[in-house]
Amino acid sequence: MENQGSLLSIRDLHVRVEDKDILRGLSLDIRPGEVHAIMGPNGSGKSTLSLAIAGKEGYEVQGGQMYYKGKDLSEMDPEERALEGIFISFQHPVEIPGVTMMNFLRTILNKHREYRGEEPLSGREFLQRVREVATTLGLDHLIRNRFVNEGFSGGEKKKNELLQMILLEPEMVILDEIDSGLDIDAIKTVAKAVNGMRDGKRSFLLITHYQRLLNFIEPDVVHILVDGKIVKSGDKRLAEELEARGYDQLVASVQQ
Amino acid sequence: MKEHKLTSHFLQLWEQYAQQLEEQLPLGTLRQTAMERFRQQGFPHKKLEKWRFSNWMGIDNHEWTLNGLDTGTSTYQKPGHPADAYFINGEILLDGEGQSREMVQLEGGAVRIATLSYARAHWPEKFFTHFNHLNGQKESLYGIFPLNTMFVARGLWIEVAEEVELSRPLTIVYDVQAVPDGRFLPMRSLWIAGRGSKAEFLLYERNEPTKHHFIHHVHEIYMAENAEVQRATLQKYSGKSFIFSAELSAQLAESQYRRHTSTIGSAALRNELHALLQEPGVHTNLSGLYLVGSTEKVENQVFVDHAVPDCESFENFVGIAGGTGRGAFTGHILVRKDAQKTQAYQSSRNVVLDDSAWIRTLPFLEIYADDVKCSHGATVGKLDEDIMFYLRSRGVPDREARKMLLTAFAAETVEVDAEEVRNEFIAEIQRKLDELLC
Repeated sequence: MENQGSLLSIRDLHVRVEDKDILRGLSLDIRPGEVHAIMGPNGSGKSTLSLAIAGKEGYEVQGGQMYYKGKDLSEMDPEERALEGIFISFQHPVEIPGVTMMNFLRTILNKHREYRGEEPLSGREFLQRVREVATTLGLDHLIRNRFVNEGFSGGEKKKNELLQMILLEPEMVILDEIDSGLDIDAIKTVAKAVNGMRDGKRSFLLITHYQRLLNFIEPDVVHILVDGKIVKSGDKRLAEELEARGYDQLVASVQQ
Repeated sequence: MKEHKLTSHFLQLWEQYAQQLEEQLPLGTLRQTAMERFRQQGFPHKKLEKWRFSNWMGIDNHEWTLNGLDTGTSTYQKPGHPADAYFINGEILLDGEGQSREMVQLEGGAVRIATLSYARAHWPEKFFTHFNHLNGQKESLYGIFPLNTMFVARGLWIEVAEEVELSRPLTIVYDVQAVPDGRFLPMRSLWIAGRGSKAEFLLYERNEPTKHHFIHHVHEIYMAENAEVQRATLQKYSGKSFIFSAELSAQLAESQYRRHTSTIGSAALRNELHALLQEPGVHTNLSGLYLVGSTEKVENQVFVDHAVPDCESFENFVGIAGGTGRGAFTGHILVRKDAQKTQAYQSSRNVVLDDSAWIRTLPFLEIYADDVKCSHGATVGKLDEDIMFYLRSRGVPDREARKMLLTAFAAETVEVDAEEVRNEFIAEIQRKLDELLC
């Protein structure tokens, strides 16, 4: 059963990837406007969770349910999940040779507008909007005559995910290790972009290995993910505790 | 050796029409010599090394008869596409307004386009310096080459004067209209770019979409010293026609040749490109795109002959096959012993959309010089599933995402400078992709 009032409700989720059970009974409820953080060591199933929510082939749901706005996600194609307002920034955004940033951004933005029953933006309106957002992220040099993510640095790829997030105005944002490989200035830019999107209705799920990002984006709930299950949840102090004690000690204390 | 059914058929046609053809376009001993070579080689069959992938199944189910032997009775329509000249059924030349002409002068006389028989009658010396100079070298290779010389009576002469630079690209439409099924249409186009000239041509080749024709078109392309030639062709023939199209080029010192052809389908189409880099300092750039679906077959056979030092060649070919479509690319680069400082690059990248489609690609480098830079790469694969997922997770539906990626993949080879023409090619490519993806 879905949890009433949740935007995203995950119940006892089991996911298998390449014959390996990765998620083993994960439950999570995110209400509108909330910011959740999931922290966990490598291999705990953090990225599997984001890819299962996105609907990637090969991420087989073996048990449990995922509901978004009361709808069963398992019955929706990846594109439908996106158009319904789920945005996932990937840990390793792919390069798309031959497809220009402008063509890509305009296509995805107009797909979303069409789905919401809005008119497509004119070339001029689109250009103005993209320039404005790209400039705040320091990406303005990458939107002209470049193919999507091709030749972008690690940080630029991450910022390009945020550029799409801002343009598409999703209701449920999932950021999968958006902070990995970023220096402190870039993390501040990411935090600024995310905080700028917080409006009391939009929800966020931050998936991260480190507490660092949470110094700049304050979560309402922090979950610790170990071996495909949430072993502990709490407020932002849990992240601080984790930072101080490390995963091993924290996990040991939970298991006792 | 296995005898192709069509060998005796074409020899019979020759007995019947040789005299009449010679009256239409007098070629002296060339025709007879070609016939003898054809008799020796026969019509090409699949046992031949470079015809292994050329599946022309069904070509011998037709009793091909010659077209264009009766002249002056038909009326022809100017095709809808704007052009500087129209060449219809291999026999009629129309100017830009659709008036029938034997010769059209463009750009203040810098370019002359004439029927082959006009060129033969008015410029015999120049005609025989060029006619069959390149094709003749190939006639001992495979019977398909002499077949053209045996039967050709019609064709086009395109000449760019020395030291002129054209201010705009010239457009020529090759059209086949009101020709009954079962006709064999041999054509020859002679391209002569004078010393230091600079010209760009846009070519549209087509026939009616439901017709069974066997179109056999040989282009002989001559570029003098310092000439710069660009040719971009859109080939769109009926899915029921057999097409053999040869582009034989020879380049003198410091000349530059840039060639692109986008091929949209056909029952069986074979593009045969032979580039002879004859003097030092030559630059050759050959690119091609082929899209096949249902039961179509398209093949590009490319041979680049680095005969002398200090030349460079680039080949970039892309194929997309859906349904039970068949594609093939063979890229033979020959670097002769004296051709030091050669640079030769070849790339063949292909995508198959369905399990029942296939594309074969075969690079073949034959290098006898030691100071050369050569590279080649060949791939056949499917669309990258991670990229597909990325696009879908941004709200682009599966089919549109495929079309977006395939358009990008195909468009990269379309080396056409004029933006609107490039867009026209891409629109045609996208129409074909719609068919392949449904």
